[in-house]
Amino acid sequence: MNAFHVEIKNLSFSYKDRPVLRKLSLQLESGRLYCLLGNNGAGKTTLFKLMLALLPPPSGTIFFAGRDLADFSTQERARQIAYIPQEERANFRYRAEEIVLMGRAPRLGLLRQPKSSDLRQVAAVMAKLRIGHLAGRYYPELSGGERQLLRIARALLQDSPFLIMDEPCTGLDYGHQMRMLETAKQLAREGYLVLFSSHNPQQAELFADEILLLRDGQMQSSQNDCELLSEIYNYPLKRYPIEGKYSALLPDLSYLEERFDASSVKRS
Amino acid sequence: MTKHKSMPAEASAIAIEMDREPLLAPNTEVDSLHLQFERENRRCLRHFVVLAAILLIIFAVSARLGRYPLALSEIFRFIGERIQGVERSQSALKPEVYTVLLNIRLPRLLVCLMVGTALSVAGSAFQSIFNNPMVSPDVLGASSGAGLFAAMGILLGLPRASLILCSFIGGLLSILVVLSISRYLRFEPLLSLILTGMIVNSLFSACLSLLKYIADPNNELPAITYWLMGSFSGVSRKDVGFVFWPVLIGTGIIIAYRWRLNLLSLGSDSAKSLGIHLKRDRAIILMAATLLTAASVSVAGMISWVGLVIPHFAKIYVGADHRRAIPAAALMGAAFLLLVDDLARLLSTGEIPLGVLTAFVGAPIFLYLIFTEGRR
Repeated sequence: MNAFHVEIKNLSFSYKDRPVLRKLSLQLESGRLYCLLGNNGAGKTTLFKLMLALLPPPSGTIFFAGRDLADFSTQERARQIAYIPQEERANFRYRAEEIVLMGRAPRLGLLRQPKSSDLRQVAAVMAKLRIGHLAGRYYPELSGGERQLLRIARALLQDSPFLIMDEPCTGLDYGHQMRMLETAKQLAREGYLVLFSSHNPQQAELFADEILLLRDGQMQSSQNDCELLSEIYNYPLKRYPIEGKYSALLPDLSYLEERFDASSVKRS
Repeated sequence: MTKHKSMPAEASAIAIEMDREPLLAPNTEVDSLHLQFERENRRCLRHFVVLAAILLIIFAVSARLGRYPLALSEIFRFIGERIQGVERSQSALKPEVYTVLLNIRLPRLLVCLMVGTALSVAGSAFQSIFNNPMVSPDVLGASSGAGLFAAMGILLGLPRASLILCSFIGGLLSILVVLSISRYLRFEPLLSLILTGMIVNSLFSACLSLLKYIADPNNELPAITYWLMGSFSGVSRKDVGFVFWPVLIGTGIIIAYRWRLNLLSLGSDSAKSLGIHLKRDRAIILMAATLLTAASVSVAGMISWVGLVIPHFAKIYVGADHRRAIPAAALMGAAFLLLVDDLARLLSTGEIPLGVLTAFVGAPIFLYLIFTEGRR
């Protein structure tokens, strides 16, 4: 996979009178995992949807590998950027492999039907993500985590080097969350540019190569992030040193102790 | 890990990429999965052989039934003579057989078959683009719009051939009205559509009642009323050619789009991010499905339930994937409507209107379906 840049310059967008993004600028590089943090309504999903042209065109420009994204056709865009939505209304009982196969759409002509070679790629991607056992099962009847993995498989089948994941961990149990992030990191190591949003700063720190903080419609420099995060979430956070190169980002424990008598917590 | 030998270029690109990764998939698993998918495809082909056979049998049996019953041997001999090009005057068959088959029975069966296909395919398409298995051409007002305009055509004394144009315009108009009004409602998009559909439907049926009130009770009113209830009894040879093209074009477009319908049914964000030109493709499908609805309404009147029930059955039999569900719905719809039309002809000496029968048959079936669906 060739290295490439995504560059966002002076992006502004508002819903009617409510501005969401204010002259936002951002640079992303392939082969890295980016985590976008921000409080509810900060505009994380809006930013994603602007990159995917799912919203009316904003002011400002987004360059993909030096080309203005506004010049891309829908199909061209789908060949460069794959979207993994948080949830999808599944009203029809498609089989798992049929969902994954849909990822071939941007690579096939308008009225072409997928062929055996396309099915082979579905098999390859499903095997790679270790979800071969889901083959033949029905999409609406799978768990949230399994559906999410199928959407990732579908996005990989698009062969697009840029993956956007909207809160991939929401609704998953803890093990699935960690495995999801491992998968995202793995894909970044393979050369994909992976951008995901999250509400968990600790997980962001554990996995992301870079954390992007979205506040007041702009990117914040992530220095002194603990204070900034406390401001963003309006809750005291503190960094606690632990072994190795990691540190734990937790709620300020002295604050918690003050608020609640620690001895009253029962452990089972 | 060795690369798979017979892999096409694109697939091997992925395989090479996989090879340097720790998330390594053994090629044996890829092979077995691929094989499983292929086997599934072949298994579904068998379903189509069964469906086609059933349709053929129903068609042959229906050709026998009616006010003038025919023997199967007569029908086969008729087919044989037509293939050999035997002149009608030199035929070994009774002349009535020719008259009945050519002028009455076959046109009726062919139109019935085409309308059954049209309604089921249109219903499947509507359900797909609205991502809702409960939508049908009648829910969104396409058929009531088509009905209203066709009734106006009858009232104006237009020839039968221009009725199809009237109903097409009516069907399209009502869909456009529903779509543009629902855009301004602040409910969930699907709920808005169905609510607006209800409003437009009731408005159009009020207009229709007004037309009936104005209509001449001696000849126009019975024509409108009877025709609104749906019937194939008036079908003539000319009608075959006249439904053929709209049904062929509409069904052809939807069948050509069958795989893309899967993507269209995912909802707009997913469909767009998968490279679908949503506005254009939705408009094309909507036009094709409206053409099908209008064609059937114009020749056979309002036949409810077929467009709702048959797509469900097709999906239960061959799966939700529209690559299979659409052709299956086409075959099943044709067979179903032929059967119902047989009932309409046989149950009483006068003909029972078809729309009444499809409702009698369709409503309980649908009730059963939603009961079992809910339990799953």
